[in-house]
Amino acid sequence: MNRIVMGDVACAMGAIDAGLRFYAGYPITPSSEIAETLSEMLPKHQGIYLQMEDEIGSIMAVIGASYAGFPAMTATSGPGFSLMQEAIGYAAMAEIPITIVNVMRAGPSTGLATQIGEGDLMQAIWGTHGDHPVAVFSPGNVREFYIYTQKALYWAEKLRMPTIVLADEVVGHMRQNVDFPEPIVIPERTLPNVPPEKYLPYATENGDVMPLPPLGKGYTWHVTGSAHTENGFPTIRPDKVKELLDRLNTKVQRHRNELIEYETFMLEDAETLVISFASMGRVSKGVVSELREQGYKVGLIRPFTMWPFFKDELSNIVSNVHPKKIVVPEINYGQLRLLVEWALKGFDIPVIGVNLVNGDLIPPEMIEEAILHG
Amino acid sequence: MAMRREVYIVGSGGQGVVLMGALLAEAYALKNWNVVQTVVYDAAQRGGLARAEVVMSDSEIYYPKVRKADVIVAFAADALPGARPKMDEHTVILADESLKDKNLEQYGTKLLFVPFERWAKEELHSSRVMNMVALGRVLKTLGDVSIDEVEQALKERFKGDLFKLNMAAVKIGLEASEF
Repeated sequence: MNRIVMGDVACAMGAIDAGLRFYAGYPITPSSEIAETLSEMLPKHQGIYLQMEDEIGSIMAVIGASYAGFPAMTATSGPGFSLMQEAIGYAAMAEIPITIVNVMRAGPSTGLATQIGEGDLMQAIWGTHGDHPVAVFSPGNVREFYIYTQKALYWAEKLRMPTIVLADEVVGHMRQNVDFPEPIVIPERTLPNVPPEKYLPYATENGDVMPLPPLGKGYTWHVTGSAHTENGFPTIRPDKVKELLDRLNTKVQRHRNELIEYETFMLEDAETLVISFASMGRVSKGVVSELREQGYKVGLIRPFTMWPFFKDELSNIVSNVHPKKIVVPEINYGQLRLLVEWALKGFDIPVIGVNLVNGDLIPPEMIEEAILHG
Repeated sequence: MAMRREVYIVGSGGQGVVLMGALLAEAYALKNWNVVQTVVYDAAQRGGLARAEVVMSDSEIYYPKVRKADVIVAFAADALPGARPKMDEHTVILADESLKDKNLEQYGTKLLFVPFERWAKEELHSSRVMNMVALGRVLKTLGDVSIDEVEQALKERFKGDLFKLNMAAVKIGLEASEF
């Protein structure tokens, strides 16, 4: 059915359709409509909605609910996302599946409370301290917000780690007509094939961490943010610590091919390659489409998975297409450009940033100027 | 040639700018057009700037904001200087008559003062529905949506007396003869 839906509402609908059972949050523009919608929908879908006293309480409640067996998420924006960083690391270390939706506004600090920014990319990937696994997805329109909220919830459960959806104010507040695809459903927790007394919550199974059993079926275990052995109790034994951290930090790479998603548009014979994410990906696609109509050789890549970064794929595309330059429009001072430069460090191709942070989308004319004369 | 309509609505928080934009988008969506509405507003709930931008097209919409406005609706004048790049000589500014002394002629667009608030107050005893009077007037200017289609869009949002009041306000704007 074709209907008009706001981005934040699509995120909430996606979560419900995926099987979300618990949301705790503290409202903040431009993410508040996610909380508002879930406060109405969750109780009608055997779920629990909880408004907490702040963002730290919110993410801790989400971790607790997930530990208890409820697929759980929270949503916030920059200032709240900063507050949640420590707990993201806890979820990564304790291997509790959680999803955090960050509808980006312009920062730093309170910044522009109601207006767009795309400056949380690096924080989403590297925000919590210590090396840790995380997957970051970024939608560029209402339909994609529905889809990538579901994928984030799916992968959090599958890999027992935090996943992040990085939308922005325009994606969150935009209303547009949309036709939703079949939902991606969060995998159900299953009983381990060993009795409770033999269960090791941090052992590996087929290379991945053990699936979490549902709580209340006799399986209990110790949970800690400290380094621990397979049974969950703290350890400082170097070999055990190494084993744990090696396993945590190869989680994402082991599944990179399934996690990485991006869209390519008019790449053939492109002399200029535009790479852009979130709302600016959508705007850039329009610019590329218009310039192609005028005969300019320009193509576009819109990454949906920001981490793991599509390093090898980008490198292959550039080897095949041979662009003369790369243009990266983003509403920050060059965070995606840094990742692109890292991915293409072996190539001698200029990477030109189109950067403007003033509360609005970057105008198409600025991108066009960089493509034609940058 | 793709059809594209772009409407830019400015006012103060509490004047129904965002709701008006949403209903405009919904009326066009019922005609199977692609629509995108975006908003800008201050942190305050009442007072402060409020802006809605609505783009409607029969083909895919990439840039979701207004590039050149077909119509600008102004309930307040403060935000208009910032909208100057979105205007050209074809742009119609529909301004509430209370803005007559705000030198809107400076923008060099087609300019029409309409008593949105006064009509809402005099005929429906509710200045709150001035946004719906303006919605009717915008639909009349653009000429794509029939009264039945806008009625359908309103029915999906409002029930009972609220629907009647809002629909009556839209009709005032739609059916007003030039004055």
